Amino acid sequence: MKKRIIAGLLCLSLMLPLFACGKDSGTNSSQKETGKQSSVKTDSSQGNDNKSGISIASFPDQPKSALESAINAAKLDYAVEIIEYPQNEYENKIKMAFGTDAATDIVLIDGPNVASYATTGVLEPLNSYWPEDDFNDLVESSKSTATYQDKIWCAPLNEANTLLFYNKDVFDELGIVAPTKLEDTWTFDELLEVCEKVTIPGERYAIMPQMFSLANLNEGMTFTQMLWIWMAGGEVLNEDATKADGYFNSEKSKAGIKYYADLFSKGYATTEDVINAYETGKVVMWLNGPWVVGNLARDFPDFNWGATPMPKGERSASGAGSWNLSIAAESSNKEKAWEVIHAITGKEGAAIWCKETGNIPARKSVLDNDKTYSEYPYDIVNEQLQNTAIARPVTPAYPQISEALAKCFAAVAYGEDVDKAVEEATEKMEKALSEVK
Amino acid sequence: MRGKVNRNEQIFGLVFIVPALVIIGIFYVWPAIRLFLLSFTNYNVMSKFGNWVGFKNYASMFSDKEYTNSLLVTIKMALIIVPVQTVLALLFAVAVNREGRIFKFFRTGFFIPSITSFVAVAILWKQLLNPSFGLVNSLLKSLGLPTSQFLSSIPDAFYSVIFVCIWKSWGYFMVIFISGLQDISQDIRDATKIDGANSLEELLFITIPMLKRTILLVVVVTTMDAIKLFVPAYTMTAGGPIGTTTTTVYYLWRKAFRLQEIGSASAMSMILFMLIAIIVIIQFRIGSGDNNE
Repeated sequence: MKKRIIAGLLCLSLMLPLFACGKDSGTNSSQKETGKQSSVKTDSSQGNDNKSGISIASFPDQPKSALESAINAAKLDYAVEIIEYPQNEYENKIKMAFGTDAATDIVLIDGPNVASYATTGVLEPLNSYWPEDDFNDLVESSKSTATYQDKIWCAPLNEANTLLFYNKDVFDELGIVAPTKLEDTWTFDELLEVCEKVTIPGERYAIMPQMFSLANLNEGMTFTQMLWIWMAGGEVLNEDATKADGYFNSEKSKAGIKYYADLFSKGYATTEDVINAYETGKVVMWLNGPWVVGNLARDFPDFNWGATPMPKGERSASGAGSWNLSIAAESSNKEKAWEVIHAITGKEGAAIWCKETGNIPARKSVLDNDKTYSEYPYDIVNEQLQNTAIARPVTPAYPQISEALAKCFAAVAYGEDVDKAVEEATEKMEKALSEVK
Repeated sequence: MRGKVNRNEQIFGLVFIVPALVIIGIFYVWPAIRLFLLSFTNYNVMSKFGNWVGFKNYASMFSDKEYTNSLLVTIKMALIIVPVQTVLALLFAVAVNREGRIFKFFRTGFFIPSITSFVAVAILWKQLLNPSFGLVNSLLKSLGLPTSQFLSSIPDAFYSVIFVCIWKSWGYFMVIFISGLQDISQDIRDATKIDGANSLEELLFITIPMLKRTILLVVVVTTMDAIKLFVPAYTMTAGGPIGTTTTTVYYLWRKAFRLQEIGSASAMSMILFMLIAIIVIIQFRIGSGDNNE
């Protein structure tokens, strides 16, 4: 009998770990546990009680050291903890954190996804914290990214833009001179002529017309592929971002997508997944953002590069919108969280952040105060930001819109019929839009 | 008195199975019920709110071309992986099921990939199959053979994923076959030899019939694994190029967590669950039918 009781008790004790899984009320146990390994406290926070401090969810591509520099400069008297997640899993992690009441006080949010987060009620509007005159220091594209349904939801870390980078050695060798002013930019036809000149069939491709190779499916792809529609004079959605039919499948939009597809069918671009295709000379031109300048200086210092404004179809267009800081609605330290956001994205913080990361400031005052931004190639970026930058559509259905668009571009690059691919994508976009109406 | 003892035994029996019941209940049964309920809602993870939408998720699912394509990709993969992997595992099991150091070496060697994490295997093969610096293309080049864009061309990506899945798992099933082979009595083998059967005849008429239950187990497990494929699509190809390697589980993972469409992803999982259940029931019917013969 005794043996049985002991055996029974042992059996029940096997269940003990289950009770340990219970929710730890009051603290964000699981979140903090996973994040701690990569978390730091800023210099200004040493010796403070972290419980009354502020936590930020981030990922390694946003340099932690630059965030720390901006926070330290503000001399805050409490701890700021930066919790990093792997980049590819970042969005999933913060969504799950919101879903389990374990969000950090401040979260990094990609511009076009702001509306989708805002509608679920997980973000705190910033209107009551942010003085209007200071908000008006932002460039127009950043203002429109931060605003959804007349409320401000986030503060931009920086702006983004796009350039057509080229291999200067190849251009010099072939006697090609790339324009450096917006008014001289290549037309679509001129770009095709350049592509024809620099292509060596089977050996060297003219252009990578999107940020990564087609083996990728992420926002960077959409960010750059969408431009071909805009440059051709088309639109992705209507102005209210409620309709794709008649916009994404308009003749002008299709012309842009067709132009993109032709780059592949004519052998100027490739579907191959080549690592460092641009830096190793396999591809001569690359449509990407100004951060490429910093990356090349660090990883390929001997590479002879140049940059030219975005080509022009029916009109000029360049990318806009980057990552932003938002306050979680569930945060119990919203005032402090705003102080930290202001420390990073205010006039001084933004100058430090952009200087250290090589990004383009979202604030007019910072752009005007630093000479670097009026020098090549930032002068082109600056000019484009003021004149041709277009923010991605703001709608809660953006994740679906983005995925449908990137898949449509990938399909036409692999030779699928443009009309068919566009109709399929439009259908998906319409479905997603109808569900958020 | 006797009845009392039985009752006591019953209570103790219950105590013994409670931990297992609780664990199965919390980690298997409850999530399955929850999944079933979620499939009738438009639940959003972040807002923790969802409306009851009835059968809408199920109704719209089959007009979703990407979903039907992912089902097709999954079934096509399973149709190749299951027979190839099973035959390969069986043949190698017969070949290495012998005494001797060299056979021990092969048995261990073939088994090693299956104890490695699938993510690690997928990343390893992604590097090996890399078109610019991968070992496979350099080998092909040095042999004067044409190279390939293994993971970014159609249909090479599809077959590359299948190859990696088989490479990873067949060693495990080989070991299961070996244990089945060791259950076949040596007397029977000796009798077969005395009757003058050659090795092929022994394999076809003795080994395979006597391994029927093991084969059934391997086929069922391999089928379930093949239908649930996720890691290679996630790690090696991101489902591309243009959906060539988008398996159903990868597609519904994107739906659920990237696009936050938990409801329709749950409905798709239910369909996948039913698909697996139907296939496994059919396989068991076929297997047990043979046993009755």
